[in-house]
Amino acid sequence: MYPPLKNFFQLLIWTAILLISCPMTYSQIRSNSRFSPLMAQDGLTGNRTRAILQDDMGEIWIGTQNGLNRYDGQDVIRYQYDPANPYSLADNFIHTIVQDTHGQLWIGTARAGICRFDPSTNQFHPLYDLEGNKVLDKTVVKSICIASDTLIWIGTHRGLFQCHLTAKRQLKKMKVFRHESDNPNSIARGMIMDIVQTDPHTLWIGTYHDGLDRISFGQDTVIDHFYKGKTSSSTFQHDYLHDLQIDAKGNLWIGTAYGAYYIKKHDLNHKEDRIQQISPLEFGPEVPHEASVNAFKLSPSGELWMATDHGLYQYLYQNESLEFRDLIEVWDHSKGANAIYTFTIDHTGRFWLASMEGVFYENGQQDAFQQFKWKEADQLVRAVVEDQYGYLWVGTETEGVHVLDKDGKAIFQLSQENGKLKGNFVTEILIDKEEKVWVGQFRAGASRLTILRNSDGQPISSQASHFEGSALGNPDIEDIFQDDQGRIWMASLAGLIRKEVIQDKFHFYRARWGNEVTQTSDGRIWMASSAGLYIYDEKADSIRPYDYSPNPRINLSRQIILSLWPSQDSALWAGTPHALYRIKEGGEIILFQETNGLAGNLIHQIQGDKKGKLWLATQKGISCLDLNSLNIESFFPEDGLPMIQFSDRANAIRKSGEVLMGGGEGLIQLQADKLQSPSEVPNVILTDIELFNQSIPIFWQAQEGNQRYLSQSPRHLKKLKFAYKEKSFTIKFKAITFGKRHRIKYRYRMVDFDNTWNQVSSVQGQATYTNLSPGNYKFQVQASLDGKNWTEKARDLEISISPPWYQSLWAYFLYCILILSLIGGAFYLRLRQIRKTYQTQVTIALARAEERENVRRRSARDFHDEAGNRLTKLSLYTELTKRLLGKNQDASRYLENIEKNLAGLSSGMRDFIWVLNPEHDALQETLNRIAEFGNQLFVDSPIQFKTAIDHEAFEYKKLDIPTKRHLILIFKEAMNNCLKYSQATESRFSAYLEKDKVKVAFQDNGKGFAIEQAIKGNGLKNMRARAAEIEISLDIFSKEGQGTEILCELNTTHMEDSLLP
Amino acid sequence: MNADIRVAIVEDDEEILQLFSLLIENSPGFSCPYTFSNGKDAVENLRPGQVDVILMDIDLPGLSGISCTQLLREQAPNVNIVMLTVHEDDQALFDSLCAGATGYILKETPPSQILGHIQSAFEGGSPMSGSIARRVVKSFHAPRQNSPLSEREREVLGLLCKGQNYKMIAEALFVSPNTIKAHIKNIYRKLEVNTRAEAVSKAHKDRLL
Repeated sequence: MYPPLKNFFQLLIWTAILLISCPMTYSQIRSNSRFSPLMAQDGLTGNRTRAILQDDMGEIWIGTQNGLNRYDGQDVIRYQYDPANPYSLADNFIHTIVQDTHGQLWIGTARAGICRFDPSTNQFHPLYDLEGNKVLDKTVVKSICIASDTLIWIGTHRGLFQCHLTAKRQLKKMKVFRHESDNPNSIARGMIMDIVQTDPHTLWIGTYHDGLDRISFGQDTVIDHFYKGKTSSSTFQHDYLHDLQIDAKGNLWIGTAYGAYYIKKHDLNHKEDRIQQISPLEFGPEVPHEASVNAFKLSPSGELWMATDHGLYQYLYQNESLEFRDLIEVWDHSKGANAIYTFTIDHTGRFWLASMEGVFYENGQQDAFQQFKWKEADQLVRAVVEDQYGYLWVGTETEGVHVLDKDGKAIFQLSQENGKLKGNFVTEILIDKEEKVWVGQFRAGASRLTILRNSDGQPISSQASHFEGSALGNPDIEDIFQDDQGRIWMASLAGLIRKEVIQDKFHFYRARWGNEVTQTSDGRIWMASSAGLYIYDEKADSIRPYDYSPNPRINLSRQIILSLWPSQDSALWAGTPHALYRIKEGGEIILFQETNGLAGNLIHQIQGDKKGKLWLATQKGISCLDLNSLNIESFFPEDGLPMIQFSDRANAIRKSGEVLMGGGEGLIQLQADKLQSPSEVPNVILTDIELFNQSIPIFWQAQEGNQRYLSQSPRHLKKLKFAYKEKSFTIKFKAITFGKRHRIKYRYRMVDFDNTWNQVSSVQGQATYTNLSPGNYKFQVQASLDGKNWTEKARDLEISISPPWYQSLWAYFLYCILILSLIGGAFYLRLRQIRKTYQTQVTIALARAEERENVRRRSARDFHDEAGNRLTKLSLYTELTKRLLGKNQDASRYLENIEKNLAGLSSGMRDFIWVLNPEHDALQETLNRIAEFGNQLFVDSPIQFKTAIDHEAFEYKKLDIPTKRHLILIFKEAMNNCLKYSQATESRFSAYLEKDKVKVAFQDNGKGFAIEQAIKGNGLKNMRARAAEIEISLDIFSKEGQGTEILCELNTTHMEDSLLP
Repeated sequence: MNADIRVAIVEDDEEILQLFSLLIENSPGFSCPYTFSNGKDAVENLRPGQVDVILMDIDLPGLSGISCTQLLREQAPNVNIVMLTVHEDDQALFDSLCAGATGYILKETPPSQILGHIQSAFEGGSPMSGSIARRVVKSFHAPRQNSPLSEREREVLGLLCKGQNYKMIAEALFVSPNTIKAHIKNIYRKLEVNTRAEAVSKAHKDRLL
């Protein structure tokens, strides 16, 4: 049942909503309702319908014996049991459908118990308990009552089930109420047909053949039974209950196989039987003695309706006391179904009736369109007019004129056969001011007939005068018109014909293809033709084409004008094959087309009514134009319009105001006030999302593999995410509306992409987007039936398009890192470059320094080379001279001194060169040199010379140049002194490491000297000076008779330990 | 013994050549039958047995003193060649000694000593200074037959002993410092040492270079 009407407050809200949106009272129009069928041939799984429901989105669910159907106004989606699909409907035989507050549909079936449909995923689920077992399988469920979010009552053929559910709709706890033959406080035995809850503690169940039970929950559970024969005064005539319903006032209604009963609200908890019965006689004489009441429903406005085997009735309350007032019959079996099994009333108040012959839904008013047909064959109506007695004169194409009585029966005929007419092809019938009947015939001119009538005004016979084409000017008469002066005008295919008022004399005005003659309120005579509009000039007594010069854009001069109508405001309306025009004096012309709301653009007929409306017959339907507001409303076959094949100008208006329109299938009569269109604002649902023209399936329907899927059904989907390459997608949507499909308009937009709404006028809509740039968007769509009122809550879909990997957040992060590392790298490279430059500079500086050293050394060597040669020569000359002067002592002595000096000079220079050589940086080398010198010096002397150099300790020490030089000179001096003065027998040169200090010493065992008195030569002074120069400590130990020692101590300032890091 | 020691002099400086020649001629027990001012002449004209000792200047134009020494030694293996040099630590001197010279004399040496050296060379001695002698001896020390180090490693170790750091060694050998580090690691491992100092010490001690 929709909406869940057990809740009183919800009812009030629905009433309020309805009163705001639909201001009409339904009871007035109910009796004339027209019903459209929805059957197997329209797509239903079958016709035998037992359950019908409108869900929260507005779709209609129809449960048949062969499956479940979902109808949105355009398409039927069928759900049936499929053994291959675990999420399919459990059983095709459906007994009942209810919807809970979370949108889930609970379906009671005949063979598989209860089944739940989840619209967000389109899956069916059986009821599972917490262990995962199916509950209520193989059970007949005919009634379901949703008591709350977590409690449902299920009525079956073997008891009443109280089911507590978890949030995930699994069965948490179940309690069964079964019939126990020995326990009077157990429920009745029969099949539970319906369950209602009248208050939180009271549950009523209606059973089939065991009456009514009331279950009261309190301290104890008390079950009261109400059935025939329980007491002598039992109201129930029998126990076959069908349906239970609480009405707007809180009374409980009981529908049974033999009538309707009720219990007043204040009697509900009474122990005794307070059931009252509605007298079956009230149903009307044609209804048998007791009518089976199959179902009750409350309309959104609170009216109580009941469906019986013989029709649908509304129960009208007298007053609060629930006195029966009236039953309004809405349906009887002549409409199509024999019995209404159940029904529902949708939220606009429309009835949906379910029967074994299919579903019927209310669709407009019954007699808005009344069709006249006579004889078995359709008649092609070319002209129609009502005479002053209410008879309809209908001109046909092949049978002349038929006169119809008020029942639509042909009672009189004018034809060629009975000699009243010259031709059977009637184009126009006019009843003039003298009650003469003019009949225009194609190719046969016109006839004027005097009609003899009986007392009821029924035509009996006639007397005809014919006017041939020769008299008229042209035999092809299309229209006959009488102006306000009484002149008869005729439009013919060759021109306009005017008859003089008194005499039967005709004037012919040549024109082309005349169609219709009319007179506007300013008195001018107009003729429409297939070559434009002509106007009659009274003064000139001629016709001329109408001049539209002030409005050159709209040029009707070449138009085929099919129909004309003068409106009260002295405007002339002209219908053409492609538009409706309104021409006003001053040249103001406006046009109307389908885009303005016309049913079609081909205007066959224009008929004004007495209420300021213009009725237009087009090739697709009928439109009604309000002359004040210029609003247009259109009606199509689906609104009940019986035919759309209209003949040009075959229209008339009856005295009572009904508009008549003739066409290929006879004549229709419009009841304007019956043609209402309640303003309904339809809901919009999304039906499909397509990606690259392929529908995206719901997750559980997706195939294996990487197929894209939706997490929810399109109807429920709220968010959608697309990857960057999924750029082309289509959203399909549909408005839920029943019966007004042609009026559906959509407007949609993609927020943040479309600046304006995109409008679509079609039954189904779709929006395609390609190449949206990455971002978040919202798609909105609304629908409307009149173009003004749009769906209040637009259907939103949030769409986000992920950026391509190179635009995603991670990519940007990566870019940042890249850039940072690039910058870092650049810095690092620059740093390296700087360091390299620096190093290069250092290397260059070092190289330069080295080069300078080399240069110095080389210069020294070069100098020594040259000097050496000279020294050699000097030495040799000295020797030779010495040999020559061998006898002379003094000369020999002087020459020896020269030799000694030369030797000393030579040795000094060699030492100098030696010291400069970096290969001799090691301390080791210097010590060796000193030792070598000692060896050579003492080799021919009586002094025995020894060396003791601790090689290993010194291997890594280096000396700088000054230290080398001075050290050598110091010890050379010491050794020379020893040789000259010491008279020693032994001498020793030693070098050792003591406590990280290098000590170099030269000792002899000579006679020594008193240091204080050592003034001879500058030897010692020089030594000290040298030591001071290189900042080493120099100690001289000597005592007379105890030898001499010269000791030097080197500290680390002179030495580099070159192999240390 | 009673005959004079015949000395040939190869010297490019005219004056020195004359002086030496004069000195030797005027010294008893010595004679100077031949003098040459360049090596080529000496090689072409000296025959084995013609002289006992040759005084060879190192710096000669054209054919160098070293090559001359080598050639003369080939011609007359028994002849004693004493090099004349200005610098006692000349690399060229060292090379000539390796080429077969018997010893050397500094040009500035007092003439008496020069005669003494010639005499000692004639008698089979090998006059030279200690450092030169050590160098020559070292060169005859072939690297240990079973040195565990590869040639490259020896190169690196050699440079290391010279006091160069990794970078300098790398630049000298045209490789990256990392390669040098790897070599050093291998050297340490092979020599079973842990520090640079130990490695160098061992290299010297065991004559690994």
